[in-house]
Amino acid sequence: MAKVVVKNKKCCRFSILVFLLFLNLVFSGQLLGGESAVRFGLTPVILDNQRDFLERWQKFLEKHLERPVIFFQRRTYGEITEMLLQEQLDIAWVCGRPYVQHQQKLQLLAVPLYRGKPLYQSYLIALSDNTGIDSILDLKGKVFAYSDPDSNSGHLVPNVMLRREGKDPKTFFAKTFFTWSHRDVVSAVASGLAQGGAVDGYVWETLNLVHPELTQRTRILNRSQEFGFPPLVARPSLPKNELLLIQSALLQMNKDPNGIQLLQKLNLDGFVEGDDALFDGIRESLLFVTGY
Amino acid sequence: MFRNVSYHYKIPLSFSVVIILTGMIVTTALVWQTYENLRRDIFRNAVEVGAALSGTLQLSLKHDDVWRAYRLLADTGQAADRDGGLLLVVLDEEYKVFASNQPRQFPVLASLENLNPEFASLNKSLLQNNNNEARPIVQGATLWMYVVHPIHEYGARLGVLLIGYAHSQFLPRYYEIVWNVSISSLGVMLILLPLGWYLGKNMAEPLVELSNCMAMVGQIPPDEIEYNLKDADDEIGLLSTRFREMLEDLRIKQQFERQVLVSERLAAIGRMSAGVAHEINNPLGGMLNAINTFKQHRHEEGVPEKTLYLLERGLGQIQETVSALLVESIPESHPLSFQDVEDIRTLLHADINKKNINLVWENNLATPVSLPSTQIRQILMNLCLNALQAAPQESTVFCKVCAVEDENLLITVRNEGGNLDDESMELLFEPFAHNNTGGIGLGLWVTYQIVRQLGGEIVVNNQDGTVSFSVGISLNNP
Repeated sequence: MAKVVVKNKKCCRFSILVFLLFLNLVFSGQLLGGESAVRFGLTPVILDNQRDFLERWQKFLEKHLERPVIFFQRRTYGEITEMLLQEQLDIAWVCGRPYVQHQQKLQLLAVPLYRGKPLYQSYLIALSDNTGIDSILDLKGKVFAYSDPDSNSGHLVPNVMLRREGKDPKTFFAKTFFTWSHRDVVSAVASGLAQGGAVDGYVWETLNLVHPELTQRTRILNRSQEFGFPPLVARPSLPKNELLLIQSALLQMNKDPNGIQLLQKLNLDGFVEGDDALFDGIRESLLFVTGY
Repeated sequence: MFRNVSYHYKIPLSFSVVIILTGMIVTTALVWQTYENLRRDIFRNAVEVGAALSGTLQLSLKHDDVWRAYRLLADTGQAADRDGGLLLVVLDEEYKVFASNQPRQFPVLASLENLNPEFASLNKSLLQNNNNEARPIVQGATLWMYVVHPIHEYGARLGVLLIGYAHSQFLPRYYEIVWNVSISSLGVMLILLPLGWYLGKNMAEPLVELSNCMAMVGQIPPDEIEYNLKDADDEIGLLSTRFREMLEDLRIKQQFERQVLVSERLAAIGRMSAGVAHEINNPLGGMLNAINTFKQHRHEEGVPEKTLYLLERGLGQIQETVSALLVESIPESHPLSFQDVEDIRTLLHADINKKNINLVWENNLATPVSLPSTQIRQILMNLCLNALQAAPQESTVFCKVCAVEDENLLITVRNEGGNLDDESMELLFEPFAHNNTGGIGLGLWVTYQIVRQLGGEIVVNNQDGTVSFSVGISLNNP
């Protein structure tokens, strides 16, 4: 009986210790975030579910910035964009569309180089064995998977395609749904849940390297024109010197062995400063769809 | 069939049948119970799964979030069963597929009735039942069990979750249990069967022993019957006691009979001796008389001749009596032929005419048979003379001689002279027992002796006013 009590006491002490540690971490995180840590928001424009990759990237950035880096992940693009606008984040890797929509407030930090160019495409995909579907028009009355309402490649591009064909995206498909990530668009189409889907071409190609069994169950119906690759942007009030520091750390990645490894993992060639004009294509699409 | 089987096997067999039947019934009951338990478990499991999922699914339905619903169903399906044995389908208010963990078979927006007839009937039953409780629908062709789990918010139905369990998921578990139960039952039966057989055999043993002993009664003398049964108060014990008493009674009775037989034999010998003495005494008296007469009138003319004649006649009579008694001394003769039998008929002519008898004569001997003609002729002659003597005036005497299937010679002689009384029947074949007028009373005795010597049988049928003698002699006896 006495032993049990002692044990319980030990247990109690241990719990308190863990709790304190936890509190410490939370507060230190907030303190770091508030003063010295770089708060980095991630969206599913990349395969953001590789825990070990993120840890290594975090270490790389911390080493080069000599500051702690904390990654933030949310379910939607909208949440990350909102956090950025609310200055709860310092930088974020977002889609070109939110950047274009909020370009007055956001600072362009860097644009990834994919296959040597800061550009990517939107893929229209269908089930690999679903014959008789060769274009988006064949998907009429079918179930269609979008990635995110704020995604260019996963939402805006197919809508523009339909509009250009004179179809109303709201009624063209029997049902549409959002998977909130490009990877899940591929899963949704591969499983047969949706007969078609719109996906970031870069994500599809990267997934094709990592999980070919998934992508092989899908078939690319259409590759869109090239758009500016989802950029990294900074909060409106991020000081220029900080922005440049972070930018240089990113631009240095393809000159550092560790950085090259990380870029290989990302299936990217590097980062460039980027030009706002890269996103003119998205601007045009937005204008075409919304009229402003 | 079974009725003719010995209790030696019948009781153990019955025991075995009861044991096997019990084993089968217990197995069936256990299997049924298992099936019910499995069904209940699966239903309970389905209700739990449904309850766990319905909260999130309710939100998904409300927000039209197909992807979230799919992920939940797919993950749950995968966690529960890797072989796809668990089907999870969410139907919206219009009973169209909202999401499922098998989207290829159950595509989004598909109506159940478009999938296959089984689901079409399911659709109807879903529509008919409108309360908000989970319930099982058992036994489909594709799936073994469905559980319909309504998804509702504050009583308003948003859709239903259909949980289906494939046969592939259920049957192996069921078969495994059936196998285990069967093996256990078989094991128990294997232990019980020899035990039952042993007990049954033990139970049947006294009965079989008793039966065997009873079967010996009549075959061997009661004294020689070995009897190992123990007395007891049960039915077989009582039977056994009664049987023992019966054996004792039988033994006493047989002893008594033997005594009677001995005294009867003595009486018969006495009667026979008296008969022989009488038959010899009569001519002896005559001869002594003749000798006396000769002594007194020896010189008279013709007396010696007459005396000698009387002596010769007396001695002849004695010789006739003695030679009749010496049946064995009859010499060998030729095989019996048709003509031998016909000769007898000729010899009987005088007697037939005297009484004006209608003689029905059937002589069916086609070929000679290997029996001594002299003896058979004597048998036939004796029987016929007896019959003619017993027959009243103008009655019918029937006589038949035939060889039956080349194996037996059959002689039948029948007369209508009225039945013999019991006393006559008892002494029928004894010598000198009859008060007949014509003979010396040795005819039937001689006949009997000859038949016995030839290894045959003689049977008398004495009823309905006729007396019939049947003699059967085997042709194959040496």
